[in-house]
Amino acid sequence: MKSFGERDRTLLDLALADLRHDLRNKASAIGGAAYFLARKIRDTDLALQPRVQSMLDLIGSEVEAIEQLLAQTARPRSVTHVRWPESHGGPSEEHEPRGVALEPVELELLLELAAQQVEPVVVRVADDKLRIRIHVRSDERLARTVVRKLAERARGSVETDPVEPTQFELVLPLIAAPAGSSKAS
Amino acid sequence: MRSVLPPELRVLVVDDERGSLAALTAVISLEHQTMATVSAKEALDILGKFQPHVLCTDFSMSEMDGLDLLAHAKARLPSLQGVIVTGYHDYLDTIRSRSRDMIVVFKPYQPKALLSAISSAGQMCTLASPMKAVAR
Repeated sequence: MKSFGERDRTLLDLALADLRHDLRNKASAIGGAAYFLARKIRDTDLALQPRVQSMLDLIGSEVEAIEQLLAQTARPRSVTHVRWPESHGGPSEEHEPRGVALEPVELELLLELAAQQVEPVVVRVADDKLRIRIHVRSDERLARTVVRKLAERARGSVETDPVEPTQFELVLPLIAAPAGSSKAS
Repeated sequence: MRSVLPPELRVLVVDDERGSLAALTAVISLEHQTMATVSAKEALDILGKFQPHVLCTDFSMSEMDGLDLLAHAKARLPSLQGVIVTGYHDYLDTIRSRSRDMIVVFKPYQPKALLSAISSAGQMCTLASPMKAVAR
């Protein structure tokens, strides 16, 4: 039976990873802008005003506090190994015993997305990499996030079709199965 | 002893988020000459004209990611050194597994650490190929 708790936690994890990324971008911009201003005023009368310097220091310390808060939301994840199933176009175990660096529940999420597309998933194995085509509706931010995050987790990359931006090609490196690794169901 | 570090580097800055790009460029411009773009493809077009010593790029971008951009750019300008700036703390091993030939700076970055990374990359560029220092 499918564990919805684990699936939902993984989805939440991926959405939080996306949010952490966006917030870190904002915090970086704020911290960088404050540093730039501090350097620009350091030889002016403004730098002599104690409150000006304390406000610049406050921006810096608050940016650091944001990062500490964000780090607390990250859940440790152990990289495991799963095979892309033959039933979904994956290579046969006999010819291609390697897999991708994902947890089983993460593979299930990718297979769900693959099942939603109209055209069949095209899987190609070349240069020690598995190439998977996934199509998501243009308004599905979570689906896009899942595709990108899972590609990153599998140490791979995502190529967007320049003509059809809702069409992704995931390039996932194939890795050797460690002893006692899990198998996709 | 004379320093091998040039007084000012040419740094091409790429980030597809305008706020991040503006702040990154402002910080780096305090010590180096910069050009900035939100487009990875435009960055490749700029390379020949600007001849940067360092490419400072975001990792996750819509057109292509920072590692692919760096690989394409190095193919055109082999002495170019890369500084990848990323908010993806969770995926350092992913980035490292694809390339070790760059410096990684995490967001939110300490501006002094960013400037230090740019200088280190500039030193590597100097070692990779003799280059002309840009006059201040």
